[in-house]
Amino acid sequence: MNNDLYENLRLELRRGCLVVAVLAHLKTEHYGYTLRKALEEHGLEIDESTLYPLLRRLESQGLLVSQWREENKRNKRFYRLSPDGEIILKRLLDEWQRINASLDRILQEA
Amino acid sequence: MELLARYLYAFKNYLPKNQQGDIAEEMSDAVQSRVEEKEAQLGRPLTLDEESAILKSFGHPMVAASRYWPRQYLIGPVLFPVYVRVLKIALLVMLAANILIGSLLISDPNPWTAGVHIWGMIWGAALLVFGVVTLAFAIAERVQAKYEFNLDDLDWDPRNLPKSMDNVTVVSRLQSCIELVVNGIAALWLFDVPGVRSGVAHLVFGQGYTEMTSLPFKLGPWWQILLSVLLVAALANAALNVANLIKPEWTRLRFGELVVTNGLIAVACLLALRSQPLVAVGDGVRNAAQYAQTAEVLNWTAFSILLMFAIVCAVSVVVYVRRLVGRKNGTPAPGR
Repeated sequence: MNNDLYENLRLELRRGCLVVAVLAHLKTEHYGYTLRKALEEHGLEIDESTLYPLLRRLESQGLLVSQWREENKRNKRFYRLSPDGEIILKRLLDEWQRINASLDRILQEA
Repeated sequence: MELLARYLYAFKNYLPKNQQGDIAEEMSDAVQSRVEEKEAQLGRPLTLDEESAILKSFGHPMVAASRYWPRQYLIGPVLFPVYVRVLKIALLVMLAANILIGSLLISDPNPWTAGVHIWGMIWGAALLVFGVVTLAFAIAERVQAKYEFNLDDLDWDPRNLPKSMDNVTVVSRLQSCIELVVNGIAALWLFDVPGVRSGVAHLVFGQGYTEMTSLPFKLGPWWQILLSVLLVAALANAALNVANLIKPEWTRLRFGELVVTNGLIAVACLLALRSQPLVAVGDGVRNAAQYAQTAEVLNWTAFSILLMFAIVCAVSVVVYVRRLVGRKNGTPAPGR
């Protein structure tokens, strides 16, 4: 089996799921490190090199808000969902449920 | 944390200018958090190798910074296939034009050095064509992105799309380009443009060309008639090649034109065969009698060549008439 092919497809599959997972976790405030740890505890490992650019992109799209705060003598950037982010998250979760249900039906028939 | 300072310095250089400070500070916090986590696990400060391994896991600074840039294309996936096609056509036309223009402008009697000059011209023109076409499409891409232009937003009708070219015979643009160059050089040779005849003759006959021009023979009056017909044919073929570069599906025009030009050449050859002698001893040549036998041999050789040429052209006429009768424009020929 072509491992590179599997990895590419796996990354594509994870890409959309990670956006939903990140938005869902940011209902409560996190900074990058704690968010990564929280995702890991729930079985979704993610590199910093993927997570931090994702957070920036979601913020530039208006789905997150952020602020710098000093904690443990270091400046950290804290993120949380914006009002628009909450609306989008709800719609994405509805879509997620719908896709899951369709997939279940397809797999049962197969 | 000297390694971290180096990493951040390199990382910042590749970031968008207006976000360098912000992103670099966040990256610094991310790296230091990982270091602290590892030190807590090991119960001691990290070695240089361990620090280096953590930084390597974030990726090369250039790669790590690239993830913060918005995805952008010089020429995007929608325009790229069009760009490649336009570039190919432009380069082919440039190539043909440079060979023809170079043959006109370069007065070097040695065809090899003239060829080197033309080769140099071609590379310069190719770079210019590449640059202009790429710049035009890059500008189109920027405009499309800026105004969020989408072809699907146009009110397009499937009935207005061009006809399908599947299972249709077309004249390849490369073939048209090569033929254009050959017909162009032939036309220049037949027009007796200075330098072209001697250049081509040097290529074909080498140093022997000089001796040939001083031979005591002359060609009969048929030569001028045949030259004129060949010139008309070369110009007509060149015009056809230009038409087929623009419209490769115009095969009916191609076959029609080839029927006419081959027919004309066949008739001219047959008329020439009737005008004897084809080759004779030159006027005012001393001791003409000693060259008479050679003239007879050359006469017979010229006769054979003209006859074969006439037969080939006549057969070509038949072949192209069959192809012409067997199709309309853009439809496949029977049995092809």
